[in-house]
Amino acid sequence: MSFALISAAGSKLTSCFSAEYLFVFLPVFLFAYSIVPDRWKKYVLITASCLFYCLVSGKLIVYLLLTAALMHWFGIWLDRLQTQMKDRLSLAEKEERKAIKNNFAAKKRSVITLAAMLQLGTLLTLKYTGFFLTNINTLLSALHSTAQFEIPSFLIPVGLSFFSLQAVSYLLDVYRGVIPADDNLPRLLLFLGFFPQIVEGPICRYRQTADALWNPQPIRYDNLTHGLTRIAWGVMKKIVVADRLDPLVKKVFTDYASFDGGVIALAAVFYTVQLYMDFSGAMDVVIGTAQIIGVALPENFKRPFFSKTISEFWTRWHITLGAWFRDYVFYPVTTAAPMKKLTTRARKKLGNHYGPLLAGGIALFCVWLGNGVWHGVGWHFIFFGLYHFALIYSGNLLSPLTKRAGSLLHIDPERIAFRWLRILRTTVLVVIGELFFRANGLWAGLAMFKAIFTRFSLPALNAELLSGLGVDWQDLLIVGVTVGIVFTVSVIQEKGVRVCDALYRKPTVIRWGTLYALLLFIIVFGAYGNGYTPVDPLYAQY
Amino acid sequence: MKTPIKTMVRCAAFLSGLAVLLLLTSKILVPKNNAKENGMLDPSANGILGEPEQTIDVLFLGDSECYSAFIPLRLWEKHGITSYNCGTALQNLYYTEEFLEKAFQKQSPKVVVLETNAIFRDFSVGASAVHKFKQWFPVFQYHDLWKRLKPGEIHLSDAVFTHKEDAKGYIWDNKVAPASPNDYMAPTQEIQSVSVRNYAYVKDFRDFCEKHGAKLILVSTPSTVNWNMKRHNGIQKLAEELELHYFDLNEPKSPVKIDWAKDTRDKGDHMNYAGACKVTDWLGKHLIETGLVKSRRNDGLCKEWNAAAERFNSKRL
Repeated sequence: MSFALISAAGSKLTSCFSAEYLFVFLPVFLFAYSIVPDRWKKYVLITASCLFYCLVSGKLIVYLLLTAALMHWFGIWLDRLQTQMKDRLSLAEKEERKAIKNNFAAKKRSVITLAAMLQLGTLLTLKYTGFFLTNINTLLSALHSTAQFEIPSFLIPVGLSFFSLQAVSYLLDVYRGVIPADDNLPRLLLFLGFFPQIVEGPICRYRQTADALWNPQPIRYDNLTHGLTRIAWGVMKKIVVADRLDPLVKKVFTDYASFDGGVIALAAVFYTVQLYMDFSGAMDVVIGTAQIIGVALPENFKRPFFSKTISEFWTRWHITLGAWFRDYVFYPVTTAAPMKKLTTRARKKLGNHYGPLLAGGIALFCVWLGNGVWHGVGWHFIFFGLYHFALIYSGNLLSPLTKRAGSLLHIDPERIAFRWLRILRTTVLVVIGELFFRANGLWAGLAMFKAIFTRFSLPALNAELLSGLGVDWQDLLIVGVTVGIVFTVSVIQEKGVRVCDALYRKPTVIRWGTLYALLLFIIVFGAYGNGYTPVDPLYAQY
Repeated sequence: MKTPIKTMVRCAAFLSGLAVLLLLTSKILVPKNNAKENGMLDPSANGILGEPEQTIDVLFLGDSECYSAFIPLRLWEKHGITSYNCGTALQNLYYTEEFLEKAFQKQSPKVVVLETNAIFRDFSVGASAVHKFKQWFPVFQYHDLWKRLKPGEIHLSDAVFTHKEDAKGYIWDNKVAPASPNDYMAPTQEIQSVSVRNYAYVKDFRDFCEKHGAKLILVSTPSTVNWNMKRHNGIQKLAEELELHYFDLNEPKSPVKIDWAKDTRDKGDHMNYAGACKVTDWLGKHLIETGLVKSRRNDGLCKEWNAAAERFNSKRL
């Protein structure tokens, strides 16, 4: 299988959307997976995962292997400390127990700190050294110093931001005693490097996927059809919408000074659509692939543009990242002893609503600073994180006032019109955030945002302007139609209908007709081939 | 659970239905003529589809080195040889194969000239498989034609290729950007090997030509950027093994004397018109002298080819 996969995929396997992945790597993998006995399937998975990573990232697979080895080693170390503590406690007198517990707790804290520093330190060093030194150099220049640091450039392995968080979550779960340490290194490697998810997530927990991946199921007909349908749905989002909008978005964000505020606002909207279609499309392909072999990966999107608040938005967008920050940053910070004391004191002075918000605000600040830093290198990413912190925190602070205002004005929050208004408001706030997220730097983002208000003229979107933006009216038409299809399906899903299951309960004619229509739609209206530049998945760079 | 056989039958039925739909869509979304206005890709090289049957005696294949170095209408004017240049930018051998097969559908060239730079252009099996797939289902190649499709044009009728390219595939360029040859053909025993895949393609071309009564010739056109002695040795070895005629116009003893101060348009990468004239004149003389091709000035093609040459020269000047 290895030879077939390597030679067939060649060197052009760049993502789960490349033809090499969809038409060569995946079919060869599925064939090999289906013909081997069940007890060997996990080895096919490991081999395919390592091969995929090698083909995508070459020798940088060393980082992945090293991360798995460190996870393995530190996990066992933590487990041994736990066992030693239990042994000592069983032999100890009652009055000695507290000292023993404290002693081992300190040891475990040291071990987990070292492990987390190694994992996150690697991530920060590789991603942030250049940014940090550039800012130091700028500061030195401002202070008229001639000293300058040389900016190193590192090769960053694909998916580093994703598998580093998985590794840290595993270690913290072992540290907390939520899971036992795994002494099976290949299982840990597969948990970290499972090939569909390694590039863009979702960020899985050990409990969610490790066992399922290590005991994969034979391919069942319904899993195969559901998985392939989901893959096709994801490909449609990416190829028909996201990639078609890419020239326009790239042009406006690169050359923003040449465009008026109306076009910049439009580009921000298009970028938000592009990012959603790209990232959620990738998740459809990833989850669909896992579904074929009977592995249920956690969902990363839940129709985020139906959110009524920014807080809700982040429970529907990149769900696994939000959950990671919630479980491994927000909760530990808010439950830390000094924070508990702070909350108790603040509650007495500020009351039950505002009191907890003080410690909660500190924790929330850490979460959103971390979220911004995780997303990329640059002040605009940090701004992006803090922008959401400000929105969510101000929402929490103002919620008593808004509730009171609502009751005074006799506004029923459950009225459809009011709900849609809130959805629209949230969407506008999200689009503003994404404008800064995509901008080429913080100053560019601020200049673009300013232009929306100072240079807004909403020029007629005539053909000349469109062709200057690298798209034509047919492109926008097909984007509109596809977004309409995705929206309709989302509305149905919001009502609790599992669309794929519902489709597969229909007669064959309807089922096959829908699938043929979907496939032909992608083939005819996809932005691929001559005249199009393939666009790497947007989140693969983070 | 469904039985494996039933599952396989259902999958096969589904894929068969998809193939039929793709074939039907491919009939609609395909250029109905071979002109650029009809959406045809590489219209210059695909102009051969519009040439009257059995009128082309020499076929040129290769990448940009090819369409920059061989001038079909100069071959006609100087020697009465009818030829067509199917060179395209960055042509891989799987694309070369497509043009070879296309050309022989309506023509019976006596000589096929393969410019050798394409032989060193590597590609993955995946890329060639995707290309083959696009040949079977052109909708993958021409899907974007939906943008220019009008309601009356949605039909399944076959394309009719009538468009003729005046330059017969040659792409004229008269810029001059001198090159410094810097002894780029310094002698060496080293060999740059041809990949197994590309070797197999050249072998297939030879067999195809033999089967159709044509002679395959390998020619390395002058290029200080793309060529060197290691590559020469690689092609020489391949030519010997496949028993093909090979002419390297980069060799110091080559009959084509290139003036690198005047005959290149981009610092030695490609020939300009002056350089292409020298290459074409040598080839024409060689083809006539060896009797591989005969002049067709005396058959009915004269009027049309002379008119094309006149149009080409007037545009050129």
